[in-house]
Amino acid sequence: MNLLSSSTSNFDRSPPSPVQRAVVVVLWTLLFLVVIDVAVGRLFAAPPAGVEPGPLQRRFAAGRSVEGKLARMVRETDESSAPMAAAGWYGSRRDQPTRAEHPGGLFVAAYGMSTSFRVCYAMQELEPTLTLRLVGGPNAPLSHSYDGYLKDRTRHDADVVLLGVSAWALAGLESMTQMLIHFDAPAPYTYPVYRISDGELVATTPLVQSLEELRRAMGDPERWEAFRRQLAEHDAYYDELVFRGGPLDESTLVRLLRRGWGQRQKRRQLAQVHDANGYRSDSTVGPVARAIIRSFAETVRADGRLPIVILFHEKGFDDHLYTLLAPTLREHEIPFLSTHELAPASDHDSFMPDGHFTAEVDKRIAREVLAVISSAH
Amino acid sequence: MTDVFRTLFRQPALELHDDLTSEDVAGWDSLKHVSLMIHLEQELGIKFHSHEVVRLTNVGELRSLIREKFARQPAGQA
Amino acid sequence: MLFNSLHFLLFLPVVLGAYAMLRHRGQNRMLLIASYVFYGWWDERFLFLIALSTVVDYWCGLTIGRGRLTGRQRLVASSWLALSALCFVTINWSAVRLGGPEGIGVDWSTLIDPLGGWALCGALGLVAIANLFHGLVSRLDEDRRRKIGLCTSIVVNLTVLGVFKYFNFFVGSAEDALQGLGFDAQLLRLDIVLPVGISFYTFQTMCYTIDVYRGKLPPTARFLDFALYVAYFPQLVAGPIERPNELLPRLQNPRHFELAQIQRGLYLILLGLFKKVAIADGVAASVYSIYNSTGTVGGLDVAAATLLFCVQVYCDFSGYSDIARGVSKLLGIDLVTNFRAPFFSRSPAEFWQRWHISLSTWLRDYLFMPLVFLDPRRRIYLALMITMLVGGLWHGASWNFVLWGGFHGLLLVVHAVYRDRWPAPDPRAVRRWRVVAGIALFFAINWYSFLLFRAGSFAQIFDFTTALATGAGGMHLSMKLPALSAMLGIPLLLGLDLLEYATGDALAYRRVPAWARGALYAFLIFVIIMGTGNEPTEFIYFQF
Repeated sequence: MNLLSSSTSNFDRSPPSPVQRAVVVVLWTLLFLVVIDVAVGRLFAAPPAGVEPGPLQRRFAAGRSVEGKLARMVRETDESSAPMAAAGWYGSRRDQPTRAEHPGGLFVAAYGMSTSFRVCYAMQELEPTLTLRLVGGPNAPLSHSYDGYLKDRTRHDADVVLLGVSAWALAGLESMTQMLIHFDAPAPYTYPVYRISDGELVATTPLVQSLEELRRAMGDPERWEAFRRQLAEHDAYYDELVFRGGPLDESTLVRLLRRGWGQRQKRRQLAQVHDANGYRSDSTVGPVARAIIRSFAETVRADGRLPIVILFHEKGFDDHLYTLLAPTLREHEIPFLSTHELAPASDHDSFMPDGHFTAEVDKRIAREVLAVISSAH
Repeated sequence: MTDVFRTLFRQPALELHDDLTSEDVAGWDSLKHVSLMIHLEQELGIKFHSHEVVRLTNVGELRSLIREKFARQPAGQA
Repeated sequence: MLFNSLHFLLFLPVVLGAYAMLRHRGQNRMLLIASYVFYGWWDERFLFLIALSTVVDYWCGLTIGRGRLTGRQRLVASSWLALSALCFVTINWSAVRLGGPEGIGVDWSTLIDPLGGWALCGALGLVAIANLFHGLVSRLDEDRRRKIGLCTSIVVNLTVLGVFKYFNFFVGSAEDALQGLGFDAQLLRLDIVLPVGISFYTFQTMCYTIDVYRGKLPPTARFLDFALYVAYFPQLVAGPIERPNELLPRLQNPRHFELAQIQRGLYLILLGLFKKVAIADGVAASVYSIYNSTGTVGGLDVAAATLLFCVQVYCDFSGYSDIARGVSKLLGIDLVTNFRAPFFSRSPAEFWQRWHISLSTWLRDYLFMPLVFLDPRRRIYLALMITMLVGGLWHGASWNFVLWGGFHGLLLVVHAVYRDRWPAPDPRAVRRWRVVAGIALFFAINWYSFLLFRAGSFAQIFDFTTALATGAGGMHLSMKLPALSAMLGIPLLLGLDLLEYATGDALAYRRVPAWARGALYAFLIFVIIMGTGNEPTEFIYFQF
């Protein structure tokens, strides 16, 4: 009948026993698992560096360990590395204006992520004399934006400082890098993790703060181990099985399993921060976010500028960020606006398939921001 | 009884035997089963209980149930 | 505990290991403990309800069947209820902390839950009353004694179900009705969580007393056997709803092990996980993206999301049944088949012989039949409509389920009237294209019924039906695409169901050569592993 059962029938011509038949089926199953593992691995192998992977290639590579992904992303030079590797580090957006480009026009320095930058571009469309200075990273949590703002504070003379806060990314306050919390498609950039000690905001700065430092650490086992240990201690999304690489990265099935595991760990951690009713009151995310907002507004005002905060509510977040932060914003009289009033998070007409707001909504928010600025000035 | 079966299932050639079950007759589902029992009630002048109807598994049991019913009733009514 | 959780992955081998080492009596005791652990994993307070159902029905069963309980039986049942109240609701276990400097720390101020204290008093009162009146009831004449037993059981079970599942719904509906009449009513609401699977186990225990009353089986004398029947973990929270005359003897008698049974069990578990993890969880987000968002929705979106919801409910629920049956087979205990390729039905009557069979036969035997034969006028269609409306409401305390039940009731009535006029031809004589056309036609109707099932409000039903009818939105599809595991899994599942339908044999997959079976199993495992990345959702039927 087949290769595997012929060996048993050489001994004995009588039909195989149920146990023998079961063993044969198990062996065939294992053989086919190996075939699937190798075949899928070959068919959807990652493309050479510089070529954008397709959706299936990405899907089957999503479970590669963080170390494995970094090794593929970060090459000898910035040019040969994946574009994602360079994103989000402070200073990665070059040639940002330091002063208003149009005499008499408004100069806005914005800190946040793509959602807020899209709104900024929409503002520029409405107000062509507007000058923009944008600092941020993909999916960046508030801690990254705040850190970027602190680093950037003295390097420009903007009139308005805009801070975009994403409801979705807020849980990232418990992370130090996007490597873990978004391990499916990680951007390796880092940022401090904040906690509150005696009422004061205390930062733990990452040992690696630029792509160059990351490259150096990856080439130096001692430095790498120190960085890994720092993440294990301070990043709530650190998981040994997700982080550590090794030869098993080459197996498709192991990668799929690792992705399943990683998703599970991530969801458990996210559930500690946010559930269907909003941000949980027993999480440290709320107090830290409020402290950051306070400190942001204080320093911006000390510099004689106007602070503005936009609260972005992505799908599934109703008005949760607003509920969490609006009391603080009001108490300190910080001009702000919340998207849940302009584009409800439950309305699927508000969003594009990739999760960003539609251009129309961006424009609506932009108009509102401009109105807030002009009324506060 | 055979007549009731034949008219209800519209199968003039249907022959009843004790081992016949609902599996063997096309269209004998639970709704039809209930109509069958109600027709039998009317034809034979007896009353069934739901628990008697639920317990039946084949025609033989149905026959003995009906026999039992007759035995308990005065003979004139049948 | 969820079947698709890591906890269960550890729980099952421990149970199986212990099971293999024990003899029959020990196996039953261990299974009972395991079942309580399994259920208590959600919330240990729910266990009190199980214990209450168990004790009441055990007591009523013996009262109906034998007339009286021995002193020992009364003692065991009474202490079971009292201890359950004490352990599961009176003591607040979160006040007890393991670890710390003293080993075990107890926060005495919160150790006793005040509401649980009342539950304990209630349980003790119930036990006292039952024991006091026991002698009196046993001396009554048989007919009255049997009726008292039956009524007590039905009243207690329906009360538990009514309070925990339907109270707020009926109060809310009453408020709405009063407001419609111009009254501003604010009635009492209970702040309670729906205990997982309550509809399943109350139905299962209730049919035990009814069957004892009907003389279908003798009452169970041994309390632990009965307690296991009520709480048997593989099918406790989402069925199949087992009949006492099937399941009880299997629990009461020693089990035999065969290789074929273990193979079948493992396959069913694999198939169930495939349906749940790879498919149901893989399409859940797509359905959610349409049904749980506001804004204008196009007809194509509604059609696609509803189609995927059919897939989701089927895979979710039949997957759970498969895993339950598979796990139970590993223990040597067969459970009934709950689904037989339901979407290949050609008529509503056939659908209900293929979909959730354990519920539809339950409703037939314990609701529809009594409704018909207790009614002197024997109004079949009225009984059928009532049965389907109640069956709809069984799924959840919400009007859209009633509507869904009513829709299916109407389909059944219309079909029955039609069949009265034009009887079904001999199945062997029906041409193939008519079979295919029949399946397609009924599926299209059934498809719409799942819109009623999933909808969150009457407004949504109206909007979505309008979108479907007018084809608003054209060919634009804004629904989130299903996960890859579901896109790979759905064609395979369709093939497997088609094989079962065409051969009429759920075991047809075994007839293929060994290598093809190996390929099938390997592919199932592959897609399940891929599905582990999908967001796990609770089994839909848990809330029923």
